[in-house]
Amino acid sequence: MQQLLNLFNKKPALPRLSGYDPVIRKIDDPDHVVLPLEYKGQVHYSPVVKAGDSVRKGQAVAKSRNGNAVIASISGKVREITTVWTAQSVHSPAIVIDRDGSEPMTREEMFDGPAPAGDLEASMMRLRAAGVAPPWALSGREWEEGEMADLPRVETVIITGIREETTVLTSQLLLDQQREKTAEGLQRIGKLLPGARICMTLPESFKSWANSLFSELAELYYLPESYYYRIEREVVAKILGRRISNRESYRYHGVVVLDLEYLLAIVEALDGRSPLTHKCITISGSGINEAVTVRFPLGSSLRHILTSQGLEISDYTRPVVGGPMKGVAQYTDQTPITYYNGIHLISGDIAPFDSIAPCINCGRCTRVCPVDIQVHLINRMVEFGQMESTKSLSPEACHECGLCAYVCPAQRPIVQLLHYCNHDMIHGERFSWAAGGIS
Amino acid sequence: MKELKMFDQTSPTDTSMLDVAVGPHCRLGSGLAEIYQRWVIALIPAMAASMFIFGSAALRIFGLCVCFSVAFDFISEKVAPSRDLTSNWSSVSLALILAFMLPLNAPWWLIMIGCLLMVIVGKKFFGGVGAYPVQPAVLAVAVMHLSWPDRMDYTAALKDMDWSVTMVEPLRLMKSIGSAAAEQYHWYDLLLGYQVSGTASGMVFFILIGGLLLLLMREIQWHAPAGFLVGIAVTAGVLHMADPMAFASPIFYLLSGGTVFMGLFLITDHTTSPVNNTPLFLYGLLAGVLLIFIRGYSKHVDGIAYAVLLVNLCAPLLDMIRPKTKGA
Repeated sequence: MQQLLNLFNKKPALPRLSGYDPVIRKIDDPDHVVLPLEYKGQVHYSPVVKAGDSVRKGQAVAKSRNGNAVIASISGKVREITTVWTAQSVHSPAIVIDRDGSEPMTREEMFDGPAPAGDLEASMMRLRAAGVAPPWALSGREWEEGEMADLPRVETVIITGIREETTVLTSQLLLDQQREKTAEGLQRIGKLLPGARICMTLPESFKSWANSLFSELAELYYLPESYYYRIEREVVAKILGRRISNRESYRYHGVVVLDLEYLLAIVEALDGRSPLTHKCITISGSGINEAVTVRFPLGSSLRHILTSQGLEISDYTRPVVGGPMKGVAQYTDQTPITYYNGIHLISGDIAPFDSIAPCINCGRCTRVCPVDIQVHLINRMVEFGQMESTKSLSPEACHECGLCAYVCPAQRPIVQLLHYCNHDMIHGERFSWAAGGIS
Repeated sequence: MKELKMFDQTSPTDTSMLDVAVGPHCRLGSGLAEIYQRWVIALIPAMAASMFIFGSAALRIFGLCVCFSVAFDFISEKVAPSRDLTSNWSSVSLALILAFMLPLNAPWWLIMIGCLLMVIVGKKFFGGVGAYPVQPAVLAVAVMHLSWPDRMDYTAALKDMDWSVTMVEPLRLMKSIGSAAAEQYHWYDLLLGYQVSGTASGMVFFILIGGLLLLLMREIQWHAPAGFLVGIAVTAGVLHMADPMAFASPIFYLLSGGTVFMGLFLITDHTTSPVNNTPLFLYGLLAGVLLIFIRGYSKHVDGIAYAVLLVNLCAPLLDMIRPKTKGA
């Protein structure tokens, strides 16, 4: 009977969390951490320590050309400098540190007091040294000296007080629990970037208290509890009133999208309290009635985070780093976790897609597409190898949010077909749409 | 960095069973069968009404149609394996749509040929479900209409029935005596299905219920039926005003024959209709206009089959009207 009634329900934009634990749990230091040094399309780091060196928590272990730092998240001995597959399947150099239980660096050793207020140059140096401007904090890659000068001034800062994936709760929990510090962070950003437009996205349920606290400091955008309205590129387009092409970095347009967690880390670093060594992540998935948010040392393995919460990897068939829509499934539980916000665990034998299902042209994909791509046409053109025909339909506008494949009744691999099309058009030999590429 | 040894990422426990699928990692869809089962659910009210009125004769038509279709589908899948599996229920839903348009006294061999035409010619030859250019059931009906006009005669099929209404197809009577025919029928008889038509295509009220179910299940969009309604009302209204003797009022056209069935079940078939809202409305509009012209100016009595076939062929053209992609 319930199934019969479900036929007539409006389909949810994403399955919601059944519940969550609002407490952010602390977990112990792992036996070893692996700190990857390379991320897709972002800054490259070189190690400044050697295998065998003793490092202390808070010490910089790798630096970029411009002085950005990667900070050791535990004290111990550098076991080796090697390469790993990161959670996003990037083959990256990495530093492995074994824990030996020695004392972390003290605050005085790391910083000489708060950074001088109002001095942008000194503040940026402080943020870089504290690992708060690591590859993942500010979008964009390592700019050449000349390019740095050509970059437009940052005119808009968008702070994500809510993440796009509905299962990821890190930002909203931190925002709720550290309201004063968030307000402080917004003020700091305003001082660092005078004249810049500061925007913040928040969950709708925070309207009651957030207006009075933040409305002086930032433009507030309340987003409903639905993946459709939270897709990052769409939110940025809505805030800016114009669209940034998928191929281009926000930074080229003077826009910075900053996770709330880094906003809080900026306050810590500027005050000279602590560098960025820990990060929050939400664990959700099948069999987990209450999503758990934990704070873990950067570079902990997936296994360490799961076992600390009493979860066994053998109970699951698909551990996904990220959320259920855009996350990446992992082939091992040894993956080092760094800047990701969520772990979604799937158990049971769930087919990823039906590779032989024919498209019946029902049009659900096209109707749900946030950028109005004619998915029902493109996915069949790609399937039958007619790449030329897709050219007039602009598949390159796709930001692979996954909604089309989510609603497809035939369970076709629509996102993969579109990705293949874009990849072939940009990197393939037959056609060349544009210089550069989408990542 | 390439010369560096890989850090051993394999774990002591056996994680070889981990599933490295690509996102999205959750899905709403559960296969094509679900979609076509919904169409069958939507056809049930009219089927029930038909069986209430005609008894076992209607059941015979429905049963034979479904059996033959599924059998042909299964055999052709064995002979020429394709991605269109029998288990996706499309042959069941198509078979019922075909049965709705068959006369009540259709012999078994006619049903068999109809199912053969529908499944093999209409569907499999074009590449299976999702690939056919015209609705296969309608194609089969059109072919049978041209090949066995006497066997496909709804009036002859029901000549032994007596419902104390005029036992002639409303549109056929109108062909011969003009709009005066409309006075021979009560609107409530037409609405409740007490009219001479196919096995269930004339059960107007019950088909409306089924169409409403489809709309509520978000299986079809409202644009096509709305456009169809507008097309019929405007065209029939204009013709009725221009020549009241030859053309009846739009209400009569709407309630008689398979008009409502066409508007809710035939033109809305997603494979053969456009996807976006504007072209969908235009598509429905065109279907309505074509239907009235075929009824008014051709020798065909109930021209739904030809109207559907013609408008289906316009769908790819209409699909070229599309919204601009954002951020292109």
